[in-house]
Amino acid sequence: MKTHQRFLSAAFLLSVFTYSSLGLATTQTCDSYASLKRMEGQVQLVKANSPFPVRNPELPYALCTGDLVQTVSKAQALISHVGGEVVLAENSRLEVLDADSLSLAEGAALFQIAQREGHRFVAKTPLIVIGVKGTEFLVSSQTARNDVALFKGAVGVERQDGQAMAYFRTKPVSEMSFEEYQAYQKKSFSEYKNSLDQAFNDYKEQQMAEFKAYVSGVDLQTGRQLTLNSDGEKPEAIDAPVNKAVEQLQKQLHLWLE
Amino acid sequence: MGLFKKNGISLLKKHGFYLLGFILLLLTYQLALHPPLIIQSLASALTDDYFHWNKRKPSEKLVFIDIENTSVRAHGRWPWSRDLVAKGVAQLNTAEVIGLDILFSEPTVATHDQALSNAISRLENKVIGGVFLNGPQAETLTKDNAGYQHLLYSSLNRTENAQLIDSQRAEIPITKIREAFPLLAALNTSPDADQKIRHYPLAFWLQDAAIPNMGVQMWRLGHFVDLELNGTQALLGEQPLAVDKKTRARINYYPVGTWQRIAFTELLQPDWDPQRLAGRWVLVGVSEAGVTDMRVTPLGELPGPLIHLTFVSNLLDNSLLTDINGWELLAVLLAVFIFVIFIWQFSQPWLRLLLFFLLGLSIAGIGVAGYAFFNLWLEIFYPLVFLLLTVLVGEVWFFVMSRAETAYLRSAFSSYVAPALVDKLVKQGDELQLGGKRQQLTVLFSDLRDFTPTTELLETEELVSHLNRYFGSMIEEVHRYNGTLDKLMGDAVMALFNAPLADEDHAYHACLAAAGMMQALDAFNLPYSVDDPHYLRMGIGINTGEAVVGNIGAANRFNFTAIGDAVNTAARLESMTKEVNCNWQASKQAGEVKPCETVDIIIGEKTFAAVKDRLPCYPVIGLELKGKLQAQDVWVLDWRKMIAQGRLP
Repeated sequence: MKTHQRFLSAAFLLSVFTYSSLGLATTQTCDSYASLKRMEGQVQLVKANSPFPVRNPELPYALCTGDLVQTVSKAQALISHVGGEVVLAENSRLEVLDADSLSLAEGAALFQIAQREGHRFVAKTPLIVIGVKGTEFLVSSQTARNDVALFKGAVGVERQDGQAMAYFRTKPVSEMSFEEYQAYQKKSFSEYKNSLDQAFNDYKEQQMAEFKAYVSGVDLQTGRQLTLNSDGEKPEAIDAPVNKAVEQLQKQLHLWLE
Repeated sequence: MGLFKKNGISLLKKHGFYLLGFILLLLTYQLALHPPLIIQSLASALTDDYFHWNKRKPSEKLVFIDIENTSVRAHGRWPWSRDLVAKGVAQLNTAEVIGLDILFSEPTVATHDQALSNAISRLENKVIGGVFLNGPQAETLTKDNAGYQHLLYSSLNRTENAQLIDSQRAEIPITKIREAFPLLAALNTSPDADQKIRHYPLAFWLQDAAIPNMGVQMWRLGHFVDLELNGTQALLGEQPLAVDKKTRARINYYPVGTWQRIAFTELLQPDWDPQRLAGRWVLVGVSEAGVTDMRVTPLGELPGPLIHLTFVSNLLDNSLLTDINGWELLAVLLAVFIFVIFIWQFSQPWLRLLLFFLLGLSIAGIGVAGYAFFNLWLEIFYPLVFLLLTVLVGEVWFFVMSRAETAYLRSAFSSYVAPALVDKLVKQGDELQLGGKRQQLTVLFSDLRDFTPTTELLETEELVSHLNRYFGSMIEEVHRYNGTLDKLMGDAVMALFNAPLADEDHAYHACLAAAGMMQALDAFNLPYSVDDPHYLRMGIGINTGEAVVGNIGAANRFNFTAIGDAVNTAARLESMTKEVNCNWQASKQAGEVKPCETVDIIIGEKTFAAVKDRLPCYPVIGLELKGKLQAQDVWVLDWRKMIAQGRLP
């Protein structure tokens, strides 16, 4: 009980010190690795030690470990990080970790990471870890599945828990029969509308994915998209060409990178 | 068969019975997992009294600024003019956290609205305004609505797949007043099936925003920590909160009347001391009866603001309740089941019922103790229902099985034992040891002498009916003296005394039965002359000694019988009667004086020892028993003299 009281009084003191951050926190005392550079729609910026968002942050706004940037629908944010730049899509949440890593807690984001000597940048979601060497890729973290689409450079994808996953690969078009190709074309057109929410198993069937091997990580190639099923199921990953909807999203987010 | 073991339950088919109990357990558990509304209400009604065991007082830190009866008498009916409210609100500035459990959703006189807005603004960043989700005048807020953005700003930031009560619409303060509030919070509660409030929703979905409830928002502001929601896990700063599937915490009510309440009108008095609120967390709300902010709780009606404050106080003194459900409840039910199985081992129904009653009381006691000492909430309804079901089903089963057992005893013994004895057997069922036992008993053997010629002379049908009449009167005599008919073999009768029913004076009673049989035979022979083939002659042997008694045979065909030397000797004594009688008659004709006319009953040594002082017996010296090498002393029992002495009733 005593420690509890001590904790409460410490929390109280802390709250007195940090009071200013409610509504008018602008001064930074932490090591900043990133900054919020641009936003559109309602973007919330929550400091690590605060339950409340920063009211009307002045841009660029320096971000430290544990700080959150979140977007609601129709909102978008550009975060500049020591390692590169990230465009956060709508309904997404990004947490700043340190000089070499960011975590996408929810939603989708386009990462453009510059190659740095002696540094390996890491992007995370609750499910996966993406190791990066100079590249541009899009990450989506949904309840049902995670997606990583690579547009430039190279990334390696592993699960947070290190479990091996069953690795499937879409049948190359050259190996498809004419009927299969027709079916594939038809399906990829319908998939265009609901891509990132699509149930993993539907997607797997649609991609005519063939089992290749059990792997602990996947080195993704440019123009490919890796889709992982959600936690709690038997780990699986599908390697397929980048989805049209993802490509569309990448184009939209990429505009902010130029 | 094992039908006659000492313990109650082992009389029954145990495994099927236990399986039935286990099925009841799973059914009860399913009921607890998905209770229909009526069951929920019943279950809650049983545990609502727990709160009487709460002797805690709400935290000193919390104050309810109450617009109650005296305030209404002083300033007129609610709602008041907002400049009046503004004057009171202005007095709150020494408090640490201020919540307003009042909805300012309609504009009034512009200057009054402005006055309130100004008063709220002067409270700086420590005041929280209320919104009411899904209320009667709630509107759908578009995403670019400033009110929605204000709510979004006030909402929880660290949620992932949070399972919250969903709402699409909200009733929010008018813009002028809303803008004065740094933060907003929900003012909603969530009643149970019976409309009573026992749970406190931590937050609600309003479109994309997780709007914290007033109590949670006060904590966030007061302690500057966020509430993290992940699925149905809730973490308030470092402190995990026990919540249900809708992220509702179970609140622990304090005794009514223990709250620090300050009438709103006191704020407006000239002698108001602002230091009374220094460092406090206050919630301003209405308890005046005319305003519908009274909520039904297990303690009766409580003003809505006190429900928010109860939650906050529970957080402050760490007394939020944790439900015992899921596997924990299953473990409780299993524990009850183990006790029930234990109680089933007792055969006396009154003892079982007493123990079941005590078990029920213990469940209730454990529920209260869990609440009072560990902040655990056990819906004792489910273990009690399970107990009741198992007791009912169990006792019905016991009843049916004991009926079946009675019927069995009757059918199994009524042909061998006197009907009056069968009743006794049934009553004493538990004390009967029919499984096999070595014991002292007296065996009576009777056989007809020279019966083969009779069988040749009589027609078959007449022979059978003649024999049946004869057996009828013999068996009647056996039963009269508490003997058990063991079996009929041809024309012979074997009867046991002292088994299966205990009889201390079994030797004597066997002798009486033998004399009775001789007397009955005399009466049976009365219509016939000595030369008539219908005329029967009988010899009886009686022996007392140790034998093994029990149900002997195969599963479907068995008899209660005795085996052992004592039985064999009795049979041999009987077969001696004819020869001894011949010698006896020869001696008489040779002029020897014999104490009785004929030799019809011969008794063994131990039987003699038991009856020698009471019955007329004469020794037959040096008789050699068939099949037994050693000579044995036997005695003739003079049944005619016994009759003359009036030994037979």
